[in-house]
Amino acid sequence: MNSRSRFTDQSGATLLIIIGIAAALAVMTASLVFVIGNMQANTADSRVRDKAAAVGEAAVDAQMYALGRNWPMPGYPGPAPTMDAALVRTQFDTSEFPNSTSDFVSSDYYDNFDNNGDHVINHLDGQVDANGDGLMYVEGQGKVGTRATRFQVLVERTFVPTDFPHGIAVYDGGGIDSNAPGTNPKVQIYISGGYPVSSYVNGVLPDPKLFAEDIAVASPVVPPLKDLFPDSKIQQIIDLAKSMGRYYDVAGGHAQMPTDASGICVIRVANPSEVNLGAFNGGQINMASQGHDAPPAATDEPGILLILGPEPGPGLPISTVTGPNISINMANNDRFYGIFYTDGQLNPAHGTPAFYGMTIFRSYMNMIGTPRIFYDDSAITKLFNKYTLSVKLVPNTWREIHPK
Amino acid sequence: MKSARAEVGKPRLVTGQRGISLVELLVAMSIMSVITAMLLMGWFSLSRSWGFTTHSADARDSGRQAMQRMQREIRDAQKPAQWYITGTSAAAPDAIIYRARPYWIAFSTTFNELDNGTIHSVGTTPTATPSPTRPHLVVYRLYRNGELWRYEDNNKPWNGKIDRSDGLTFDMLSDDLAGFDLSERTTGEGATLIVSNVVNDTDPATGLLYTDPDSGTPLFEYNYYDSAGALQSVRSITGADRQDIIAVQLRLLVDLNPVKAPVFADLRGTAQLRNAR
Repeated sequence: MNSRSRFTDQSGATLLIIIGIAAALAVMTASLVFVIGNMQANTADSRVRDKAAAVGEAAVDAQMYALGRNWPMPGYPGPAPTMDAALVRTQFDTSEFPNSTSDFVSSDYYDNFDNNGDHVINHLDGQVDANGDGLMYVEGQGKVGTRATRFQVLVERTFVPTDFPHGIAVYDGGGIDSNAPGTNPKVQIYISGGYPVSSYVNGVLPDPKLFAEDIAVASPVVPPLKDLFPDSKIQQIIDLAKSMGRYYDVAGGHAQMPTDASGICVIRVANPSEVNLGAFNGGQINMASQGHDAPPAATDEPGILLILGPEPGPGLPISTVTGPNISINMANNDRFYGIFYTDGQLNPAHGTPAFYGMTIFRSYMNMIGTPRIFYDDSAITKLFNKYTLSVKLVPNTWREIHPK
Repeated sequence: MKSARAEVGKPRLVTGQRGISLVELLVAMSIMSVITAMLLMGWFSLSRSWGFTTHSADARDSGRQAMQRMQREIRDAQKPAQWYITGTSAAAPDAIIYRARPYWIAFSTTFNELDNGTIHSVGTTPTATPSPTRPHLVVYRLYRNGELWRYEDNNKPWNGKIDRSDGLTFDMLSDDLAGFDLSERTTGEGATLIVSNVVNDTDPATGLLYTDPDSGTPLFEYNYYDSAGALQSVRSITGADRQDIIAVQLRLLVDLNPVKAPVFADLRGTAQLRNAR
């Protein structure tokens, strides 16, 4: 009997049983593979959804950070507070968070007021805090794989407490000198803002007429500066300047002198040293942005200029260097508008420079010549709530919304 | 030579057949028995494996989806309006977490509402008071039979309660899962079975329910900062302290092999209350 006939002559059921069992096993295996595959797909889907949510939350945080850097106010010439999507992308591993397209992370922000009158508050109401209430909506979306998650939240702007005391024209922590009475008064009120204006001179006045009659002068003994202008406020300004890239530790060798004095500017210089503002002696700091030879216009923005001594050691007060060795020179018709504070002294002026706002010289003031100081309350008013400290989430406004 | 076709129709002689002996039959039967036993054992084993795998995969999937749903929903929880839950507009809004217990939780959330993302301006003229979607009450509750159910105040206008179709009051007071009325699963507003075979209140060593529910593994634990600034995690918070809850820890124990030797899937997660940060 050959092999062919052996198979064809089979009359038992073994083969059929084997084939049947094998078929059943194949079906079970296939269904098992399907079930496992389905479960794996569901697991992966859940994980991808979670990842998309993580990216979406990162988008909200990044957009809030961008708003903190440049809160969009009407007419404010700052750069648009655009989220740095490329930076956010680098924070997530590309193998774990696959999506090479630009929709990996996106964000939006808009005012919380129905500016266009369509009874719906959304992107069409403008990307600017038009009503100035310090509130805006932020939306952030992340997309990983095919899953996208979007969040919406109302955010609130908080401010650096730049609430400077009203009514201080001059604080002079050392002596004062002047060639009075020829050009007196050299310290006057430009805008009082309705506040009584005072000055403090730690020494004998060479001539009472140095100050205008409507300025009450405390002399020769003055209260400690920290009673009028607390160290904590100086530290806040220093911190703010650091966050804005406007802190120049020249004394420590970490920076060069800045080229302009606009906005917030904190400079630490060596002791001794000479700081030339504006045109004087080829001045290190250009004062052009502060205007020349004219009172501040209503549209002018005040600045904060701190010229301090070297960084104090650990545990020491913020400003420990006082004395005549840090001299401030300003000349011609250069002008500073805002809060001027220095550990050093005002040197003899060269020409007719002017300070508008509030001035603090912790060491000494040489008013010989024709320097002018004007108390201008508008500087203090304009600086109040001008700089964003942070942007925080308004509680109970966080929600997940439909992705776009 | 005759062809095979030519043989057809002729009576076949049954001669020369030897048949099989008893010994041969016994040997063949023995071999067949062994083979059949092996096949059946393999079959039953594979069948059991298949059943366990599919069932456990399904249970694991349900557990994970339940966990994810709870996480997302609790994360988006937010304070209700003043009038909601309390019933009086003069009262201060209740906390984000209305009930914070080890085996059930009640909170207000806007999660998955259709109108999310659209902020209407109130009134006929534009005002600065937007009207976003409002949070409403949601309850997750674990029962003694291992079922985790979700309830929702979905009969608009929302009344801040989980109504029951049988006229009874939905239990918002009991501390432990032993005291809940099982009939609320069919009569509770918006009742949905989320996952079965949850064994948080089962002793893993014996497979039996704890007589003291406090001995079980809490489904929910609540995080808050105490007065010293230390992060605390507790099984239950009542009263005004609920306002301090910042996160909810979730731990879901699902039996993948019910009625037989227990095989637990231990799913854990954290839902940080975004609206409490």
